[in-house]
Amino acid sequence: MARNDARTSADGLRALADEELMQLVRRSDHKAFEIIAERHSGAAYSLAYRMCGTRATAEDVVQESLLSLWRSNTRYERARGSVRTWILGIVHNRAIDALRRGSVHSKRRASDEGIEERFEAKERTDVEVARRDEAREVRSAMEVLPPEQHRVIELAYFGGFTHTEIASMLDTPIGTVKGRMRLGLAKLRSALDPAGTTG
Amino acid sequence: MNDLGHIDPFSDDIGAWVLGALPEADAVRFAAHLETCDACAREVAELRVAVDHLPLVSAQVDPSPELKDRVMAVVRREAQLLEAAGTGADRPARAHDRGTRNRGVWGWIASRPLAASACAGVLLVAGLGIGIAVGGGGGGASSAPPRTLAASAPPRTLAAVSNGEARGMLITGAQDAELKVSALSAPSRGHVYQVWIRRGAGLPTPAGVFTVDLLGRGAVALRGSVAGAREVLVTEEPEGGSPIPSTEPLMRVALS
Repeated sequence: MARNDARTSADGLRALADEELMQLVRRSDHKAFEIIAERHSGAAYSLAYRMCGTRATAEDVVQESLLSLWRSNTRYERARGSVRTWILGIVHNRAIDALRRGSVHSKRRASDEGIEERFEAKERTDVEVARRDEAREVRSAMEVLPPEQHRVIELAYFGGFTHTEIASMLDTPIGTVKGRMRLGLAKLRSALDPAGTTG
Repeated sequence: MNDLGHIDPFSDDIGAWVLGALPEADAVRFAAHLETCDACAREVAELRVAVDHLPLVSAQVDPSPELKDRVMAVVRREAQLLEAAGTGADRPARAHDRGTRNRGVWGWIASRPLAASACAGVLLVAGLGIGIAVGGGGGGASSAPPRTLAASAPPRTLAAVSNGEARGMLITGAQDAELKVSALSAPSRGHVYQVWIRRGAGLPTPAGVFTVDLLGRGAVALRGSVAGAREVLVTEEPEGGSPIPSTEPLMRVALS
């Protein structure tokens, strides 16, 4: 009983790993959920903003995603990866839904130029510094991709376009677009983990 | 990496699937194929490692402080409702209440269930295990196949009401139940769909809230067991949910 009290106190909750907090969230513990939201809303918002292009839409997407998580509409499974990866997957899907509703298509970005100049998040902790380092690594891996592979991956993942739409935009056969996606991701996978130790 | 470059009629779609770039119909077919093709499943898992890193490319920006406030306002309200529901909201109505109970719409439905079913144009749907995607999971998972709770528990049928096109499936497992819907129109602005579990003659207890995506798909894991319950209902309620249903059920499934 004493151990449970320690776990559910504010400090006790903050000391828990995401996976343990998610078990509490599943039992409708809103304090555990609040900590999950605090930890991951920044990354969630960054992705949503990158895709949707407006703060209001990005916040709507993040709100829908977090509420979906709270309501257990989509259930976390450890086999799927970290809690953050899972949350960002939800955000990605919700952002695609928002984009495909059509209202924000005109505001989609092909790149995130300019965002950093305006509202860049502050580096706060060692964890955030480590994430920035990891981000640089991923950007470097993306930059060595052939431009045509980089382009289709960016249009698909961040633009939310289907392969059919991309093929039309680039005046390229659908099969070529699919091939570029597959090859580009395979190269990115190799660049990120040459030894194949992750996943 | 093993099996990259394997060829079958669906292998060309692997990259697009992981990126979420398959059109809906293609995604449904690919999802079904993944259930039976280990080689494609392995490659999906490999490429998903790359996709999971892509969000890091986004410039890190902070949302407004109000975002968390809005989310937590809804969450706290729903948590309060769920906590209140756990303290006896499912007890049968007392004898002196039965004759005079006037619960508005809910009272009408509770007293005329057969009439409500007839007027609503019931459509029985056989449970199918594929094709209904819910926006969740990783790359491509906006079209991911539905996840059943327990392979040994066959899905139950739902009676769909409202416009006759909405369909639903209640999947019951050993310990919990999940409701999946499709072709359900979005709730009105500021509203959500709420699931209820009804036992005995009492009021139903709130069991979760959900909304639907662009294609009318939604899912919710029911909070509370359906063991011994009479029926599961879906109504449209204000954001955050309600302590008792305030509208006619859009969907209803009898469990006993």
